[in-house]
Amino acid sequence: MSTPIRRDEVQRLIRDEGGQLVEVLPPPMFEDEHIEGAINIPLKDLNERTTSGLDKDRPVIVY
Amino acid sequence: MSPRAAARLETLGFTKVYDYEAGKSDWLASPLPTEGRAAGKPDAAAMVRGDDIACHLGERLGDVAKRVRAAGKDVCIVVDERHIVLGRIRGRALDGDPNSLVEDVMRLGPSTIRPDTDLGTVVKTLRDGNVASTLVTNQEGRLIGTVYLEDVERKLAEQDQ
Repeated sequence: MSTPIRRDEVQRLIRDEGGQLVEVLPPPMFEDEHIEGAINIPLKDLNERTTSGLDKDRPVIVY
Repeated sequence: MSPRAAARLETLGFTKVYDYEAGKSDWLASPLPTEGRAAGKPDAAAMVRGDDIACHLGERLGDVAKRVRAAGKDVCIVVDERHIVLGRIRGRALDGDPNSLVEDVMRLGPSTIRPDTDLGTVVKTLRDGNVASTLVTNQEGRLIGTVYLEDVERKLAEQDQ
């Protein structure tokens, strides 16, 4: 079960635990503007292959 | 969308999954760093005047009016305990029965825009609505502040020079 978090916790996870940000919105929205350091994997494309670059030992933050 | 993405990641074997519920619009409303084509361009959030007078449903109109006038304003934004916008009282409505309650005199549901709205859209929205200002709220409806047409027009004119 994922954990809902707020902005301050997002910052803490990035700073202290190497949190990985994943924007799941469509590419045009990501290209327009996204959180610094985020990668884009649209919701419909989330699969083993597209997430292979993510480290399963570190937090993953989706938005 | 993000709860579904989080659930999907868990099915793929990720165990440390967090859902940033308020999402990108919440982040963009802050001065935190972003990347992309529109990064760094001024938006509604950058033009907010954060000097709104807020009031609550159970307050007496007379008390609110005094506070508003003392601040040199003519509008009070009605918010709940989470600062979510419920309504607005302005102009002559502030001069009504001082013993009446805010909830009885406020106008419900003022129009709002999101903090990441680009300035061109802000100007069009205000001009189309023939209004001088509009509230800026985040995705949850929390009050961030007010943007004024004159401020945005001045900013756009500066950019054109």
